[in-house]
Amino acid sequence: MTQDSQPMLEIRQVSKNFGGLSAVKEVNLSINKGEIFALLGGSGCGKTTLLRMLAGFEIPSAGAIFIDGEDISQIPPHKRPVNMMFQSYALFPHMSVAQNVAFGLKQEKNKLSKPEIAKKVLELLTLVRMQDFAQRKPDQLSGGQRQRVALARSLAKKPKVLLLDEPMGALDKKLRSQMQLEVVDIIESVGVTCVMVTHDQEEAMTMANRISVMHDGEIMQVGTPSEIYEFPNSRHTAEFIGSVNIFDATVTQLEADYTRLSCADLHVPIQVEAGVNAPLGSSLGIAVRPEKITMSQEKPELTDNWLTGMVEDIAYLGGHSVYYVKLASGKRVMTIGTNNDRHEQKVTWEDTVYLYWSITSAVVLYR
Amino acid sequence: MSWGRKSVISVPYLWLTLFFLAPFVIVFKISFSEMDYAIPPYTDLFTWADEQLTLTLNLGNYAYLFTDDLYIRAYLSSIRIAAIATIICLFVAYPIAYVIARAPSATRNALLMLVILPSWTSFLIRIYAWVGILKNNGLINNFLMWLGIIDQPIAMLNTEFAVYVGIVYAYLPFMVLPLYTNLMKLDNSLLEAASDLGAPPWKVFLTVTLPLSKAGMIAGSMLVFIPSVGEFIIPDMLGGAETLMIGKVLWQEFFNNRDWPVASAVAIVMLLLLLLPITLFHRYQARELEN
Repeated sequence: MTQDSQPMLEIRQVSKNFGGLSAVKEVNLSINKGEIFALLGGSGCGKTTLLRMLAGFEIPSAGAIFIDGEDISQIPPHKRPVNMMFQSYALFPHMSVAQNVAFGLKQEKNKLSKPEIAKKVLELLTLVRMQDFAQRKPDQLSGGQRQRVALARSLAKKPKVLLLDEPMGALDKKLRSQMQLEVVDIIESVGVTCVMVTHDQEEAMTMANRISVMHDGEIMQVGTPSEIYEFPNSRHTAEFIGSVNIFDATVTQLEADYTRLSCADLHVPIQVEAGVNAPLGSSLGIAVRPEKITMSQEKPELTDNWLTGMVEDIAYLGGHSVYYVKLASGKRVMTIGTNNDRHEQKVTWEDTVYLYWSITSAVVLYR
Repeated sequence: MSWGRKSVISVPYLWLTLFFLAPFVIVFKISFSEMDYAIPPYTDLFTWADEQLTLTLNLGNYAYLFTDDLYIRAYLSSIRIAAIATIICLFVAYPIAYVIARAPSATRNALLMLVILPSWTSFLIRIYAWVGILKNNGLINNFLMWLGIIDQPIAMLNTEFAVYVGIVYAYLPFMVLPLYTNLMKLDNSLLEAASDLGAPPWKVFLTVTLPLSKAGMIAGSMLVFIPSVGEFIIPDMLGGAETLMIGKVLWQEFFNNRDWPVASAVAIVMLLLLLLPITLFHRYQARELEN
């Protein structure tokens, strides 16, 4: 990944309105060459509209899109150096696998000769391990095979930017995790810049180098998967990516290297590392991921960051269990325990437990 | 099979037997008899005399069809006119169906209604209206002469051209509806994919839309072609004396010559001629369903 050169794809102040509704609001993004970038968000967050504007199926209401420095906002889809793998794959049902892959090559201005196209199609099909299926029709293929063909077809013209619309949306769960890695391998071997849209955070985290979390037409946060997970900048992002416990707290002591907050759910103060960027007395959200919380049946020897409650529910998931602990205040806190003993589950329903976490585990949420 | 299922299936079978098979058998039977001045005007196939049951099959009616070239010419010209009319119909109906299928759903139903609405009036009246439009002192000629584009009326009525106008007009909904249903099913993402891969709009149409609407084109063409071949009212009212179509010949045999046996033979041969495209159509449909 090269950070120095100019971005391959730049989205500047792009908005899109449908009638009176604004689907995308003043989005700014800059995507580097060779990067796999994920637009992540729930349905109706504007991620698909943004992707369709990159492909040219929608024209931005405001703003501009640059690919390799060139403004493509007004260029029709068939003239853009961009190719898309559709969610439904959109393979042409009346053409064979080879014809599907060759379709884009046949549209080029300086068209290759027939044997050259055939050679290129074979290369592409070999890349996605579908060379033995060249003469099949799309309806004779399984879901995973169709996806490989769709990928080969969208790579055929060597696009400057490859767009993936919910790439694993049509696959079952088991195949999904296998294809995620395979698709990433292929994309990286070709070295194409890639923008994908997904609602599945696991998929985004597995496949992408960087993720942008979208909500209500706006970009909430952009970062690497671990930045997004460990340092969410808003309640929405924290809750959208993985599970999280959020405590509403008030700043009571503000120092340069730590901050203390009071929270109605805890008998003791909450302490977070570094001084927060808010005055004394302001209310903030404190987010603690379930796996960062330790559960014990003995009272911890701590002055801060612990609470007590009763185990209300246990979700046994095999490798680990999720414990829902009900506090005196009525709040439910989620924690995870690894099941490393086959015979003994130490904590059970109705048990009184103590939960605690380290000073570095909590994240301060300002909005 | 349970009794209940049998009885449900039997309804359409009964219907077809009563209203399709029985009339066909009667016509088929008449085609082997001889003309007679009696009521009905043909001889019986079976005669009972001297304790002998005789079956008389007269193949003369069929042989006769091939001796007089009027019939062969009428068949060929019917097929030609129906084929040309079907092709024109396809070219007129395709853009209509395409626009309706692409229209927003609110307008779509209104547009469909406009296609179907004319068929709510009597077929005869609608064709008769074309006489008024096409005749020498009809709407078109009067309008063109008023504009000064022509000073002599163009002869349109009683020409083959008028027959094409009539058939295309009358059978257009039968072409539009199957095409519309077909184009409605067309997945928009396929069109987007083609354009994404670099195909300009006209090429998207030629390489994706057109091949994928083949089934609709075939269905519509069959629905127009088959009834057009035997069409009587349109050639009779608009085509005049020089337009030769088998429907008119059939009418003349039945009502002018009162030669029911030859008329029946004409009808049977026409059915056989139409059987070929119908079977091809069904075979194609069956293959499409398999896929």
